[in-house]
Amino acid sequence: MVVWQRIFLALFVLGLSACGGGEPIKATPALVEEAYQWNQRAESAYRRGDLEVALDASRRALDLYRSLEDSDGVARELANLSSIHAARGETGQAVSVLAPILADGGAPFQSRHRAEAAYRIAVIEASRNTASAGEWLARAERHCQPECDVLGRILNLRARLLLGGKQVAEAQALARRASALHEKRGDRQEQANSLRLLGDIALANASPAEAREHFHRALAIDKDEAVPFKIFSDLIGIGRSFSAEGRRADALMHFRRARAVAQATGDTQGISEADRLLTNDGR
Amino acid sequence: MSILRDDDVRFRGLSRKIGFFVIFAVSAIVLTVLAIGVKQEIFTARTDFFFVSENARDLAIGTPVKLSGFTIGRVKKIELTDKADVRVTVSINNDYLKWVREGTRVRLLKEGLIGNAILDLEPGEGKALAVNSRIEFQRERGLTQVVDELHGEIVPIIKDLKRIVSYIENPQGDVKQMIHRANELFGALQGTQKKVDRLLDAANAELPATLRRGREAVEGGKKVVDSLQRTWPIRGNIEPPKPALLPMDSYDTRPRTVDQNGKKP
Repeated sequence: MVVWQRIFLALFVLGLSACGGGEPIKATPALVEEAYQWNQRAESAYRRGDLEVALDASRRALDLYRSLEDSDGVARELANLSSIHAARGETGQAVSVLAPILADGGAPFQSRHRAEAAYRIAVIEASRNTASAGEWLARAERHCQPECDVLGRILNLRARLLLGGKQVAEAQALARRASALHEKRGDRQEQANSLRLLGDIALANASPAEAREHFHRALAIDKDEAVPFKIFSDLIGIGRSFSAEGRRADALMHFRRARAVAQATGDTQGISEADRLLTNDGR
Repeated sequence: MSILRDDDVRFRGLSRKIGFFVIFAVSAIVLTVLAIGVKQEIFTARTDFFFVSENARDLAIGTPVKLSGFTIGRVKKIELTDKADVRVTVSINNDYLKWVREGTRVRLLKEGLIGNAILDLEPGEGKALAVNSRIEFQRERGLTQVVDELHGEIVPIIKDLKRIVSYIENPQGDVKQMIHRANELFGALQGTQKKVDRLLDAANAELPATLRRGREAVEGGKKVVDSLQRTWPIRGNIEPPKPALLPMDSYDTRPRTVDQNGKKP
Protein backbone atom coordinates (compact mmCIF):
# COMPACT_ATOMS: atom_id res chain seq x y z
CA MET A 1 0.00 0.00 0.00
CA VAL A 2 1.50 3.28 -1.03
CA VAL A 3 1.71 6.22 1.32
CA TRP A 4 -1.07 8.29 -0.24
CA GLN A 5 -3.42 5.33 0.02
CA ARG A 6 -2.66 5.03 3.76
CA ILE A 7 -3.26 8.74 4.25
CA PHE A 8 -6.59 8.48 2.38
CA LEU A 9 -7.66 5.48 4.49
CA ALA A 10 -6.78 7.28 7.70
CA LEU A 11 -8.74 10.34 6.66
CA PHE A 12 -11.71 8.18 5.63
CA VAL A 13 -11.77 6.42 9.03
CA LEU A 14 -11.45 9.76 10.78
CA GLY A 15 -14.33 11.10 8.74
CA LEU A 16 -16.51 8.13 9.58
CA SER A 17 -15.84 8.49 13.29
CA ALA A 18 -16.75 12.15 13.04
CA CYS A 19 -20.01 11.25 11.36
CA GLY A 20 -20.94 8.89 14.20
CA GLY A 21 -20.21 11.44 16.83
CA GLY A 22 -23.51 13.24 16.68
CA GLU A 23 -25.73 14.03 19.56
CA PRO A 24 -25.98 11.22 22.15
CA ILE A 25 -28.68 8.61 21.70
CA LYS A 26 -31.84 9.77 23.41
CA ALA A 27 -34.69 7.28 23.81
CA THR A 28 -38.27 8.49 23.33
CA PRO A 29 -39.92 8.74 26.77
CA ALA A 30 -42.33 5.87 27.40
CA LEU A 31 -45.39 8.10 27.90
CA VAL A 32 -44.72 10.03 24.70
CA GLU A 33 -44.35 6.74 22.88
CA GLU A 34 -47.61 5.49 24.43
CA ALA A 35 -49.47 8.68 23.48
CA TYR A 36 -48.15 8.31 19.92
CA GLN A 37 -49.40 4.70 19.81
CA TRP A 38 -52.91 5.77 20.93
CA ASN A 39 -52.88 8.54 18.35
CA GLN A 40 -52.00 6.03 15.62
CA ARG A 41 -54.74 3.65 16.77
CA ALA A 42 -57.28 6.45 16.71
CA GLU A 43 -56.27 7.44 13.20
CA SER A 44 -56.39 3.90 11.78
CA ALA A 45 -59.77 3.25 13.47
CA TYR A 46 -61.11 6.52 12.00
CA ARG A 47 -59.87 5.57 8.54
CA ARG A 48 -61.64 2.23 8.63
CA GLY A 49 -64.83 3.82 10.01
CA ASP A 50 -64.63 2.31 13.52
CA LEU A 51 -65.50 5.59 15.21
CA GLU A 52 -66.16 4.14 18.67
CA VAL A 53 -62.63 2.75 18.89
CA ALA A 54 -61.23 5.95 17.38
CA LEU A 55 -63.00 8.04 20.04
CA ASP A 56 -61.67 5.93 22.90
CA ALA A 57 -58.10 5.84 21.55
CA SER A 58 -58.05 9.59 20.90
CA ARG A 59 -59.28 10.32 24.45
CA ARG A 60 -56.49 8.15 25.88
CA ALA A 61 -53.92 9.98 23.76
CA LEU A 62 -55.39 13.32 24.91
CA ASP A 63 -55.11 12.32 28.59
CA LEU A 64 -51.48 11.38 28.09
CA TYR A 65 -50.63 14.62 26.28
CA ARG A 66 -52.41 16.59 29.02
CA SER A 67 -50.40 14.75 31.68
CA LEU A 68 -47.24 15.86 29.86
CA GLU A 69 -48.57 19.40 29.29
CA ASP A 70 -47.76 18.97 25.61
CA SER A 71 -49.80 21.78 24.04
CA ASP A 72 -49.08 20.56 20.51
CA GLY A 73 -50.32 17.08 21.42
CA VAL A 74 -53.37 18.39 23.31
CA ALA A 75 -54.39 20.70 20.42
CA ARG A 76 -53.92 17.89 17.92
CA GLU A 77 -55.99 15.38 19.92
CA LEU A 78 -58.77 17.92 20.55
CA ALA A 79 -58.91 18.53 16.80
CA ASN A 80 -58.98 14.77 16.22
CA LEU A 81 -61.77 14.34 18.75
CA SER A 82 -63.69 17.08 16.92
CA SER A 83 -63.30 15.24 13.61
CA ILE A 84 -64.47 11.97 15.16
CA HIS A 85 -67.51 13.60 16.81
CA ALA A 86 -68.34 15.31 13.50
CA ALA A 87 -68.12 12.00 11.66
CA ARG A 88 -70.48 10.52 14.28
CA GLY A 89 -72.94 13.31 13.55
CA GLU A 90 -72.36 14.85 17.00
CA THR A 91 -71.83 18.40 15.74
CA GLY A 92 -72.48 20.01 19.13
CA GLN A 93 -69.70 18.01 20.76
CA ALA A 94 -67.50 18.48 17.71
CA VAL A 95 -67.64 22.24 18.34
CA SER A 96 -67.51 22.23 22.15
CA VAL A 97 -64.48 19.97 22.29
CA LEU A 98 -62.46 22.69 20.51
CA ALA A 99 -63.46 25.43 22.97
CA PRO A 100 -60.41 25.00 25.30
CA ILE A 101 -58.07 25.86 22.43
CA LEU A 102 -59.86 29.14 21.75
CA ALA A 103 -60.51 30.07 25.38
CA ASP A 104 -58.55 33.07 26.68
CA GLY A 105 -56.20 32.47 29.59
CA GLY A 106 -56.21 28.73 29.15
CA ALA A 107 -53.37 26.48 28.19
CA PRO A 108 -50.65 28.15 26.15
CA PHE A 109 -51.94 27.28 22.70
CA GLN A 110 -50.31 28.94 19.72
CA SER A 111 -52.01 30.96 16.99
CA ARG A 112 -51.76 28.09 14.50
CA HIS A 113 -53.67 25.88 17.00
CA ARG A 114 -56.36 28.54 17.37
CA ALA A 115 -56.56 29.06 13.59
CA GLU A 116 -57.03 25.32 13.08
CA ALA A 117 -59.69 25.12 15.80
CA ALA A 118 -61.63 28.16 14.50
CA TYR A 119 -61.45 26.83 10.94
CA ARG A 120 -62.81 23.42 12.04
CA ILE A 121 -65.73 25.05 13.85
CA ALA A 122 -66.40 27.12 10.68
CA VAL A 123 -66.55 23.92 8.61
CA ILE A 124 -69.02 22.34 11.02
CA GLU A 125 -71.13 25.51 11.20
CA ALA A 126 -71.17 25.85 7.39
CA SER A 127 -73.53 22.88 7.17
CA ARG A 128 -76.11 24.52 9.47
CA ASN A 129 -75.49 28.26 9.88
CA THR A 130 -73.50 30.08 7.21
CA ALA A 131 -73.46 33.38 9.13
CA SER A 132 -71.90 31.70 12.14
CA ALA A 133 -69.50 29.87 9.83
CA GLY A 134 -68.42 33.24 8.40
CA GLU A 135 -67.72 34.60 11.87
CA TRP A 136 -65.62 31.59 12.84
CA LEU A 137 -63.80 31.82 9.54
CA ALA A 138 -62.99 35.47 10.24
CA ARG A 139 -61.63 34.42 13.63
CA ALA A 140 -59.51 31.73 11.96
CA GLU A 141 -58.17 34.31 9.52
CA ARG A 142 -57.18 36.59 12.42
CA HIS A 143 -55.16 33.78 14.00
CA CYS A 144 -53.61 32.96 10.65
CA GLN A 145 -51.64 36.17 10.09
CA PRO A 146 -49.69 36.48 7.94
CA GLU A 147 -49.94 32.85 6.88
CA CYS A 148 -50.50 29.41 8.37
CA ASP A 149 -50.97 25.76 7.39
CA VAL A 150 -54.71 26.11 7.29
CA LEU A 151 -54.79 29.22 5.08
CA GLY A 152 -55.61 27.40 1.84
CA ARG A 153 -58.55 25.61 3.46
CA ILE A 154 -59.77 28.88 4.96
CA LEU A 155 -59.70 30.45 1.47
CA ASN A 156 -61.61 27.50 -0.01
CA LEU A 157 -64.31 27.66 2.63
CA ARG A 158 -64.56 31.45 2.41
CA ALA A 159 -64.93 31.20 -1.38
CA ARG A 160 -67.67 28.60 -0.99
CA LEU A 161 -69.56 30.82 1.48
CA LEU A 162 -69.23 33.79 -0.90
CA LEU A 163 -70.54 31.71 -3.79
CA GLY A 164 -73.47 30.71 -1.62
CA GLY A 165 -74.09 34.43 -1.05
CA LYS A 166 -74.02 35.09 -4.85
CA GLN A 167 -70.73 37.02 -4.58
CA VAL A 168 -69.35 35.13 -7.56
CA ALA A 169 -66.44 37.38 -8.51
CA GLU A 170 -65.05 37.49 -4.96
CA ALA A 171 -65.49 33.75 -4.64
CA GLN A 172 -63.64 33.18 -7.91
CA ALA A 173 -60.67 35.29 -6.82
CA LEU A 174 -60.34 33.44 -3.52
CA ALA A 175 -60.75 30.04 -5.15
CA ARG A 176 -58.04 30.79 -7.69
CA ARG A 177 -55.72 31.96 -4.89
CA ALA A 178 -56.48 28.84 -2.89
CA SER A 179 -55.90 26.58 -5.89
CA ALA A 180 -52.50 28.10 -6.56
CA LEU A 181 -51.57 27.82 -2.88
CA HIS A 182 -52.56 24.13 -2.69
CA GLU A 183 -50.75 23.33 -5.91
CA LYS A 184 -47.63 24.97 -4.45
CA ARG A 185 -47.94 23.06 -1.15
CA GLY A 186 -48.86 19.77 -2.82
CA ASP A 187 -52.16 19.43 -0.93
CA ARG A 188 -54.02 17.50 -3.64
CA GLN A 189 -57.32 17.02 -1.82
CA GLU A 190 -57.71 20.71 -1.13
CA GLN A 191 -56.55 21.52 -4.67
CA ALA A 192 -59.39 19.32 -5.95
CA ASN A 193 -61.74 21.23 -3.64
CA SER A 194 -60.55 24.51 -5.20
CA LEU A 195 -61.05 23.11 -8.71
CA ARG A 196 -64.54 21.88 -7.88
CA LEU A 197 -65.32 25.29 -6.46
CA LEU A 198 -64.03 26.95 -9.63
CA GLY A 199 -66.29 24.58 -11.59
CA ASP A 200 -69.30 25.67 -9.57
CA ILE A 201 -68.30 29.32 -10.05
CA ALA A 202 -67.95 28.80 -13.83
CA LEU A 203 -71.45 27.29 -13.88
CA ALA A 204 -72.71 30.33 -12.01
CA ASN A 205 -71.00 32.46 -14.69
CA ALA A 206 -72.76 30.43 -17.40
CA SER A 207 -69.48 28.95 -18.69
CA PRO A 208 -70.28 25.23 -18.77
CA ALA A 209 -67.26 24.20 -20.87
CA GLU A 210 -64.86 25.88 -18.43
CA ALA A 211 -66.77 24.37 -15.50
CA ARG A 212 -66.47 20.91 -17.04
CA GLU A 213 -62.72 21.35 -17.39
CA HIS A 214 -62.38 22.19 -13.67
CA PHE A 215 -64.65 19.29 -12.65
CA HIS A 216 -62.69 16.82 -14.79
CA ARG A 217 -59.41 17.90 -13.17
CA ALA A 218 -60.99 17.62 -9.73
CA LEU A 219 -62.41 14.19 -10.61
CA ALA A 220 -58.98 12.90 -11.65
CA ILE A 221 -57.49 13.97 -8.30
CA ASP A 222 -60.42 12.67 -6.28
CA LYS A 223 -60.18 9.28 -7.97
CA ASP A 224 -56.45 9.19 -7.17
CA GLU A 225 -57.23 10.07 -3.57
CA ALA A 226 -60.21 7.68 -3.53
CA VAL A 227 -62.81 9.95 -1.89
CA PRO A 228 -66.28 8.71 -2.98
CA PHE A 229 -68.42 11.67 -1.92
CA LYS A 230 -66.17 14.07 -3.81
CA ILE A 231 -66.23 11.83 -6.90
CA PHE A 232 -70.01 12.03 -6.60
CA SER A 233 -69.88 15.85 -6.52
CA ASP A 234 -67.52 16.01 -9.52
CA LEU A 235 -69.81 13.78 -11.58
CA ILE A 236 -72.83 15.85 -10.62
CA GLY A 237 -70.93 19.00 -11.63
CA ILE A 238 -70.00 17.53 -15.02
CA GLY A 239 -73.61 16.44 -15.52
CA ARG A 240 -74.88 19.93 -14.72
CA SER A 241 -72.38 21.46 -17.18
CA PHE A 242 -73.75 19.19 -19.93
CA SER A 243 -77.28 20.00 -18.86
CA ALA A 244 -76.49 23.74 -19.13
CA GLU A 245 -75.43 23.13 -22.75
CA GLY A 246 -78.63 21.19 -23.45
CA ARG A 247 -76.75 17.89 -23.88
CA ARG A 248 -79.35 15.86 -22.07
CA ALA A 249 -78.00 12.37 -22.76
CA ASP A 250 -74.48 13.24 -21.53
CA ALA A 251 -75.94 14.92 -18.46
CA LEU A 252 -78.13 11.95 -17.57
CA MET A 253 -75.22 9.55 -18.02
CA HIS A 254 -73.13 11.49 -15.48
CA PHE A 255 -76.03 11.78 -13.04
CA ARG A 256 -76.47 7.98 -13.25
CA ARG A 257 -72.77 7.48 -12.58
CA ALA A 258 -73.02 9.79 -9.59
CA ARG A 259 -76.05 7.89 -8.31
CA ALA A 260 -74.16 4.61 -8.56
CA VAL A 261 -71.31 6.09 -6.48
CA ALA A 262 -73.74 7.35 -3.83
CA GLN A 263 -75.57 4.03 -3.76
CA ALA A 264 -72.32 2.11 -3.32
CA THR A 265 -71.45 4.15 -0.22
CA GLY A 266 -74.97 4.19 1.21
CA ASP A 267 -75.15 7.99 0.84
CA THR A 268 -78.92 8.46 0.96
CA GLN A 269 -78.67 12.22 0.57
CA GLY A 270 -76.55 11.78 -2.56
CA ILE A 271 -79.00 9.23 -3.98
CA SER A 272 -81.89 11.65 -3.48
CA GLU A 273 -79.97 14.47 -5.12
CA ALA A 274 -79.05 12.31 -8.15
CA ASP A 275 -82.65 11.09 -8.45
CA ARG A 276 -83.93 14.64 -8.39
CA LEU A 277 -81.49 15.69 -11.14
CA LEU A 278 -82.35 12.60 -13.22
CA THR A 279 -86.04 13.41 -12.94
CA ASN A 280 -85.71 17.12 -13.69
CA ASP A 281 -83.02 16.88 -16.40
CA GLY A 282 -80.36 18.51 -14.25
CA ARG A 283 -82.42 21.45 -12.98
CA MET B 1 -158.99 -114.39 38.85
CA SER B 2 -156.63 -111.79 40.11
CA ILE B 3 -153.05 -112.61 41.02
CA LEU B 4 -152.87 -109.90 43.60
CA ARG B 5 -155.50 -108.99 45.94
CA ASP B 6 -157.40 -105.87 44.96
CA ASP B 7 -158.07 -104.97 48.46
CA ASP B 8 -154.34 -104.11 49.32
CA VAL B 9 -154.43 -100.52 50.44
CA ARG B 10 -151.04 -99.70 48.78
CA PHE B 11 -152.54 -100.28 45.36
CA ARG B 12 -155.51 -98.11 45.82
CA GLY B 13 -155.42 -95.18 43.25
CA LEU B 14 -152.33 -96.65 41.57
CA SER B 15 -153.43 -95.63 38.08
CA ARG B 16 -153.88 -92.06 39.18
CA LYS B 17 -150.49 -91.97 40.85
CA ILE B 18 -148.77 -93.34 37.74
CA GLY B 19 -150.58 -90.75 35.66
CA PHE B 20 -149.34 -87.91 37.89
CA PHE B 21 -145.78 -89.27 37.79
CA VAL B 22 -145.75 -89.48 33.97
CA ILE B 23 -147.19 -85.98 33.63
CA PHE B 24 -144.58 -84.60 36.09
CA ALA B 25 -141.69 -86.38 34.31
CA VAL B 26 -142.78 -85.25 30.85
CA SER B 27 -143.23 -81.69 32.15
CA ALA B 28 -139.73 -81.75 33.69
CA ILE B 29 -138.21 -82.97 30.41
CA VAL B 30 -140.06 -80.31 28.42
CA LEU B 31 -138.98 -77.56 30.80
CA THR B 32 -135.39 -78.74 30.69
CA VAL B 33 -135.42 -78.73 26.91
CA LEU B 34 -136.99 -75.27 26.92
CA ALA B 35 -134.40 -73.97 29.38
CA ILE B 36 -131.57 -75.34 27.24
CA GLY B 37 -133.19 -73.83 24.15
CA VAL B 38 -133.47 -70.45 25.82
CA LYS B 39 -129.91 -70.72 27.04
CA GLN B 40 -128.75 -71.62 23.54
CA GLU B 41 -130.79 -68.76 22.10
CA ILE B 42 -132.65 -71.25 19.95
CA PHE B 43 -135.78 -69.27 20.34
CA THR B 44 -134.13 -65.88 19.77
CA ALA B 45 -135.10 -64.18 16.52
CA ARG B 46 -132.04 -63.69 14.28
CA THR B 47 -131.20 -62.19 10.93
CA ASP B 48 -128.56 -63.57 8.60
CA PHE B 49 -125.84 -61.65 6.84
CA PHE B 50 -122.75 -62.89 5.08
CA PHE B 51 -119.21 -61.98 4.27
CA VAL B 52 -116.57 -63.48 2.00
CA SER B 53 -113.09 -64.46 3.12
CA GLU B 54 -110.09 -65.75 1.16
CA ASN B 55 -109.91 -68.76 3.44
CA ALA B 56 -111.57 -70.30 6.46
CA ARG B 57 -108.60 -70.16 8.75
CA ASP B 58 -109.66 -69.46 12.36
CA LEU B 59 -113.30 -69.41 11.29
CA ALA B 60 -115.72 -72.04 12.56
CA ILE B 61 -119.44 -72.49 12.97
CA GLY B 62 -120.38 -70.90 16.26
CA THR B 63 -117.56 -68.35 16.24
CA PRO B 64 -119.04 -65.45 18.20
CA VAL B 65 -119.74 -62.07 16.63
CA LYS B 66 -119.07 -59.38 19.23
CA LEU B 67 -119.84 -55.72 19.49
CA SER B 68 -117.93 -53.78 22.13
CA GLY B 69 -117.25 -57.11 23.90
CA PHE B 70 -120.90 -58.27 23.87
CA THR B 71 -121.84 -61.34 21.85
CA ILE B 72 -124.53 -60.29 19.38
CA GLY B 73 -124.43 -63.23 17.01
CA ARG B 74 -122.55 -66.25 15.75
CA VAL B 75 -121.24 -67.84 12.60
CA LYS B 76 -124.02 -69.93 11.24
CA LYS B 77 -122.62 -71.45 8.10
CA ILE B 78 -119.34 -71.72 6.24
CA GLU B 79 -119.28 -72.80 2.61
CA LEU B 80 -117.00 -72.66 -0.41
CA THR B 81 -118.04 -70.52 -3.34
CA ASP B 82 -117.55 -71.25 -7.02
CA LYS B 83 -114.46 -69.01 -6.97
CA ALA B 84 -112.94 -71.05 -4.13
CA ASP B 85 -113.55 -68.23 -1.68
CA VAL B 86 -115.29 -68.88 1.59
CA ARG B 87 -118.75 -67.53 2.19
CA VAL B 88 -119.49 -67.14 5.87
CA THR B 89 -123.04 -66.61 7.09
CA VAL B 90 -123.47 -64.90 10.44
CA SER B 91 -126.67 -64.70 12.45
CA ILE B 92 -127.18 -61.50 14.38
CA ASN B 93 -129.73 -61.22 17.16
CA ASN B 94 -132.51 -58.95 16.05
CA ASP B 95 -132.09 -56.90 19.23
CA TYR B 96 -128.77 -55.65 17.85
CA LEU B 97 -129.75 -55.06 14.24
CA LYS B 98 -129.78 -51.31 14.77
CA TRP B 99 -125.97 -51.38 14.62
CA VAL B 100 -125.79 -53.42 11.45
CA ARG B 101 -126.01 -50.75 8.80
CA GLU B 102 -124.29 -49.79 5.57
CA GLY B 103 -120.56 -49.46 6.26
CA THR B 104 -120.61 -52.16 8.91
CA ARG B 105 -117.42 -54.18 8.99
CA VAL B 106 -116.36 -57.33 10.81
CA ARG B 107 -112.74 -58.06 11.74
CA LEU B 108 -111.45 -61.52 12.56
CA LEU B 109 -109.12 -61.26 15.50
CA LYS B 110 -107.93 -63.19 18.52
CA GLU B 111 -108.93 -62.48 22.09
CA GLY B 112 -105.42 -61.85 23.38
CA LEU B 113 -102.32 -63.05 21.60
CA ILE B 114 -103.26 -66.72 21.57
CA GLY B 115 -106.97 -66.58 22.52
CA ASN B 116 -110.01 -67.78 20.63
CA ALA B 117 -110.94 -66.24 17.33
CA ILE B 118 -113.85 -63.81 17.37
CA LEU B 119 -115.52 -61.60 14.83
CA ASP B 120 -115.51 -58.03 16.03
CA LEU B 121 -118.27 -55.92 14.51
CA GLU B 122 -117.68 -52.24 13.78
CA PRO B 123 -121.09 -50.52 13.40
CA GLY B 124 -121.92 -48.65 10.23
CA GLU B 125 -123.66 -45.31 9.96
CA GLY B 126 -125.68 -45.73 6.78
CA LYS B 127 -129.11 -47.22 6.17
CA ALA B 128 -130.16 -50.48 7.82
CA LEU B 129 -128.96 -53.52 5.89
CA ALA B 130 -131.47 -55.94 4.36
CA VAL B 131 -131.53 -59.59 5.31
CA ASN B 132 -128.69 -61.63 3.78
CA SER B 133 -126.77 -58.55 2.77
CA ARG B 134 -123.00 -58.68 2.40
CA ILE B 135 -120.86 -56.96 5.01
CA GLU B 136 -117.18 -56.05 4.76
CA PHE B 137 -114.65 -58.40 6.26
CA GLN B 138 -111.10 -57.84 7.37
CA ARG B 139 -108.69 -60.35 8.78
CA GLU B 140 -106.41 -58.86 11.48
CA ARG B 141 -102.80 -59.95 11.49
CA GLY B 142 -102.34 -62.75 13.93
CA LEU B 143 -99.25 -63.66 15.90
CA THR B 144 -98.18 -66.10 13.21
CA GLN B 145 -98.40 -63.47 10.51
CA VAL B 146 -96.46 -60.96 12.60
CA VAL B 147 -93.76 -63.54 13.25
CA ASP B 148 -93.66 -64.37 9.55
CA GLU B 149 -93.22 -60.71 8.63
CA LEU B 150 -90.51 -60.23 11.25
CA HIS B 151 -88.79 -63.32 9.98
CA GLY B 152 -88.88 -61.96 6.44
CA GLU B 153 -87.25 -58.73 7.59
CA ILE B 154 -84.73 -60.09 10.06
CA VAL B 155 -83.30 -62.81 7.87
CA PRO B 156 -81.75 -60.39 5.30
CA ILE B 157 -80.30 -58.31 8.17
CA ILE B 158 -78.70 -61.38 9.69
CA LYS B 159 -77.29 -62.32 6.30
CA ASP B 160 -75.82 -58.79 5.92
CA LEU B 161 -74.32 -58.95 9.42
CA LYS B 162 -72.72 -62.26 8.61
CA ARG B 163 -71.24 -60.82 5.43
CA ILE B 164 -69.92 -57.72 7.29
CA VAL B 165 -68.38 -59.82 10.05
CA SER B 166 -66.67 -62.09 7.53
CA TYR B 167 -65.42 -58.98 5.67
CA ILE B 168 -64.02 -57.52 8.91
CA GLU B 169 -62.50 -60.82 9.94
CA ASN B 170 -60.77 -61.33 6.60
CA PRO B 171 -57.00 -61.01 7.36
CA GLN B 172 -56.39 -59.58 3.90
CA GLY B 173 -59.39 -57.23 4.08
CA ASP B 174 -59.20 -53.47 4.32
CA VAL B 175 -60.33 -53.31 7.97
CA LYS B 176 -57.73 -55.72 9.27
CA GLN B 177 -55.06 -54.00 7.19
CA MET B 178 -56.17 -50.62 8.48
CA ILE B 179 -56.06 -51.73 12.11
CA HIS B 180 -52.63 -53.23 11.50
CA ARG B 181 -51.34 -49.99 10.01
CA ALA B 182 -52.94 -47.92 12.79
CA ASN B 183 -51.10 -50.08 15.34
CA GLU B 184 -47.84 -49.47 13.51
CA LEU B 185 -48.61 -45.73 13.38
CA PHE B 186 -49.38 -45.54 17.09
CA GLY B 187 -46.12 -47.34 17.80
CA ALA B 188 -44.25 -44.81 15.68
CA LEU B 189 -46.13 -41.94 17.36
CA GLN B 190 -44.97 -43.09 20.76
CA GLY B 191 -41.38 -42.82 19.52
CA THR B 192 -42.13 -39.36 18.08
CA GLN B 193 -43.73 -38.26 21.34
CA LYS B 194 -40.59 -39.25 23.26
CA LYS B 195 -38.48 -37.23 20.84
CA VAL B 196 -40.80 -34.23 21.17
CA ASP B 197 -40.68 -34.52 24.96
CA ARG B 198 -36.88 -34.51 24.83
CA LEU B 199 -36.95 -31.49 22.53
CA LEU B 200 -39.34 -29.63 24.86
CA ASP B 201 -37.17 -30.44 27.84
CA ALA B 202 -34.18 -29.07 25.99
CA ALA B 203 -36.16 -26.03 24.88
CA ASN B 204 -37.35 -25.39 28.45
CA ALA B 205 -33.76 -25.28 29.53
CA GLU B 206 -32.55 -23.09 26.67
CA LEU B 207 -35.54 -20.97 25.68
CA PRO B 208 -35.33 -18.31 28.41
CA ALA B 209 -31.69 -17.74 27.67
CA THR B 210 -32.44 -17.63 23.94
CA LEU B 211 -35.23 -15.14 24.48
CA ARG B 212 -33.02 -13.01 26.65
CA ARG B 213 -30.32 -13.05 24.02
CA GLY B 214 -32.93 -12.22 21.36
CA ARG B 215 -34.18 -9.28 23.39
CA GLU B 216 -30.64 -8.09 23.90
CA ALA B 217 -29.99 -8.44 20.18
CA VAL B 218 -33.13 -6.42 19.37
CA GLU B 219 -32.22 -3.74 21.86
CA GLY B 220 -28.70 -3.67 20.46
CA GLY B 221 -30.12 -3.43 16.94
CA LYS B 222 -32.38 -0.59 18.02
CA LYS B 223 -29.40 1.28 19.44
CA VAL B 224 -27.51 0.74 16.18
CA VAL B 225 -30.51 2.00 14.19
CA ASP B 226 -30.87 4.98 16.54
CA SER B 227 -27.17 5.73 16.06
CA LEU B 228 -27.53 5.48 12.31
CA GLN B 229 -30.55 7.76 12.41
CA ARG B 230 -28.39 10.40 14.06
CA THR B 231 -25.50 9.87 11.69
CA TRP B 232 -24.87 12.26 8.87
CA PRO B 233 -25.99 11.99 6.09
CA ILE B 234 -28.68 9.43 7.07
CA ARG B 235 -30.32 11.65 9.70
CA GLY B 236 -31.21 14.16 7.01
CA ASN B 237 -33.29 11.57 5.16
CA ILE B 238 -35.30 10.17 8.05
CA GLU B 239 -38.40 11.94 9.19
CA PRO B 240 -39.24 11.50 12.86
CA PRO B 241 -42.64 9.84 13.36
CA LYS B 242 -45.35 12.50 13.67
CA PRO B 243 -48.66 11.96 15.39
CA ALA B 244 -51.58 12.11 12.98
CA LEU B 245 -53.95 15.05 12.69
CA LEU B 246 -57.32 13.89 11.37
CA PRO B 247 -58.46 16.00 8.43
CA MET B 248 -61.33 18.47 8.37
CA ASP B 249 -61.90 19.00 4.69
CA SER B 250 -63.04 22.44 3.51
CA TYR B 251 -65.53 20.80 1.14
CA ASP B 252 -67.05 18.61 3.83
CA THR B 253 -69.80 21.09 4.63
CA ARG B 254 -72.75 18.85 3.85
CA PRO B 255 -74.96 17.65 6.70
CA ARG B 256 -73.08 14.74 8.14
CA THR B 257 -74.87 11.64 6.92
CA VAL B 258 -71.56 10.13 5.78
CA ASP B 259 -68.03 10.54 7.03
CA GLN B 260 -65.04 11.70 5.05
CA ASN B 261 -64.44 8.22 3.68
CA GLY B 262 -67.95 7.99 2.37
CA LYS B 263 -68.99 5.68 5.19
CA LYS B 264 -72.02 6.15 7.39
CA PRO B 265 -71.02 7.29 10.87
